[in-house]
Amino acid sequence: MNHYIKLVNFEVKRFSKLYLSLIIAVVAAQIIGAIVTSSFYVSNAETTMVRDQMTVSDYILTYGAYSLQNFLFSEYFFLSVIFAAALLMIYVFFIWYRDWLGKSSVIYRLLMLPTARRNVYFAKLTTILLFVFGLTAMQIILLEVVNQITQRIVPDQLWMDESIIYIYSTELLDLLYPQSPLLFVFYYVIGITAVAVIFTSILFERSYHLKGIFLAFIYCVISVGIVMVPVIVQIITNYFYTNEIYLLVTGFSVLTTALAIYLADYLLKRKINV
Amino acid sequence: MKKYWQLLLIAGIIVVTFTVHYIQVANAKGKDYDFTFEKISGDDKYIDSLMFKTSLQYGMVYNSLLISKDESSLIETVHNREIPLMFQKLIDEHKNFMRGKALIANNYFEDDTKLIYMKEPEEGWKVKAGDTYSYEVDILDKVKDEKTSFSIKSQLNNRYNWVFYSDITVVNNELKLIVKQVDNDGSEKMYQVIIDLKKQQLLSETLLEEAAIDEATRTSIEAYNSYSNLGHEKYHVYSISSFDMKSPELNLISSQFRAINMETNEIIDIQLPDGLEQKLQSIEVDDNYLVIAYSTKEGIVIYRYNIGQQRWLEPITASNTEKVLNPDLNSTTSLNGKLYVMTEVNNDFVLKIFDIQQGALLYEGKVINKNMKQKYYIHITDVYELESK
Repeated sequence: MNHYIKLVNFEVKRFSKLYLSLIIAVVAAQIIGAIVTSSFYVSNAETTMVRDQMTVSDYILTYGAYSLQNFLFSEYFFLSVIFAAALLMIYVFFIWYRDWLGKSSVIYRLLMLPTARRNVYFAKLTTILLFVFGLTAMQIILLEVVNQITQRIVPDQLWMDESIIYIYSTELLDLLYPQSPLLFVFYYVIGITAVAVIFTSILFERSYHLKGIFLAFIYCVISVGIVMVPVIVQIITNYFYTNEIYLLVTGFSVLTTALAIYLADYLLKRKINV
Repeated sequence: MKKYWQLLLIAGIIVVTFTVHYIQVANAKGKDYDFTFEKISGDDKYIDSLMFKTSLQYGMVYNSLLISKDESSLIETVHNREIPLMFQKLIDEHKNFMRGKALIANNYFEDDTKLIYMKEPEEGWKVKAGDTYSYEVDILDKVKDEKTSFSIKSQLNNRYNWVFYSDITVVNNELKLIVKQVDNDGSEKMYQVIIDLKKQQLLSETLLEEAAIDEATRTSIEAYNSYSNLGHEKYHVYSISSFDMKSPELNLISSQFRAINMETNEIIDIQLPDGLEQKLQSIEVDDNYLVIAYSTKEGIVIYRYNIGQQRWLEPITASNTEKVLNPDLNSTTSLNGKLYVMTEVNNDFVLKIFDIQQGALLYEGKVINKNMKQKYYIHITDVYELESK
């Protein structure tokens, strides 16, 4: 356990600078977005009201008040989230390959540590999860900050305070922070499975090289197939209720993750030579 | 411990932020969706044992909400796939029987001893003229908890694209079914099908109505019985309406209402009072009554037709106590001899409960939510009577 925590800490430290840069970039993009969208709204409202001789209530009735939705539907928010997600996706590969392909082969030292090799795999998996949850947690705080900023820029009469349920019902936020416990578990288990399968695929490639790419592809197809078993059964038989399907897919995902861990352990122990 | 500060910081932020967020969401659910009734007139006892299923539009969010006198609760959905309350009850009581069945109320019949489900024929568009389909019947004996299934070939050899069941009931062990066939061009045929449940035999398939389409007119058949009533209904009420295809708004040319007595198979013509044809905002069927309501800026007008006696009763007029924003009725529904009508006034919604037979206003009250931060729209989709504790 101690070795595992040390390894997680080691992985977190290695990515911390880049992770911090990523957070700064997302925060900057969203704060700029909040200022731009709210300032644009205010200037547009003022111009329109003067030009069309409208009262504030007429303007709100015609064009709507400013709310956090204006920001959430802007490219500043959407692109910053996509950018962060893409970077983390790249890091899922980078977290392994830099150990092999870097100047000093860190993987050599990692695999020679007096601990089970699977701890290296678990540490990398945990690190990715920490970064994903860390960013989603940061986004919650950031939305509160954005809310405060826009509230200060937009005059009270043009500002519309929204319920937290309404804010978090938008498509992207509903995906990141599902309001149903079942969906929360479902999304994040699927995410963990995807990362575990990619990790094991990387180990296939590292173990068998060119042949490994083919094996990794086959393995990925089989993994997707296993996760999809309940969905395929449902399409054919229409036997299950919706909640059961979500639970079954979650269960099969856990099974797929267990298989990924078993294969990774086997590959790390038997096939990867350092 | 000190050397793990980055790890601990990330983990700490995750735990605290997610916990606070989900506590906020839970609190907001309790507060945002807390509706209360504020009586204007009548007796509170009429809402004491009721549960209203409502549809709430709040900004761009649509939710289903259960509102009773004492509490409001949000109906949780997964990806907006909501199981209607009546089906949730059936699923809870008969989980295995309900597996794989479409949640369409018109395909079910339920009484104290049995639950019947009829599967609609699929892929009708593949059926050519001369081919046919089968009536697939699943019966659950609720007393013995036994399931029986059988299939009967239809004798109708029509070309059709879709087949719908409009009503299912059982009279003296005969399964009576109202079937609507719709072709690709929109033309419709309505049949009454009778199946002997004991012998599992098709007794008859009688053509009741035909609605054709041509260049000048479009005719359609519409049924009005309560969607959520799975039990026996003596009358199946429907209309055949013709619309002018040449007018841009498809103006109504004529509308003929009819009721079929499901016990005797007799068809009754219902003549609407003069002028009512153009004011049909709400049409409800409750047991022996056809109830038609419309709203004006001054109030609500309700027409009642006693189907058994084949006569219109004196219309009820209930004036609005507050200025009505939208003259259209927000929603109407009926249950056990009462008509529930909702209208939108200023920033609120007013519920009126009428006794259909007596023609009296029993209750009028506002449905209010003081916690909503922005304009919302609410309408009643169903009324349930709560079982006494």
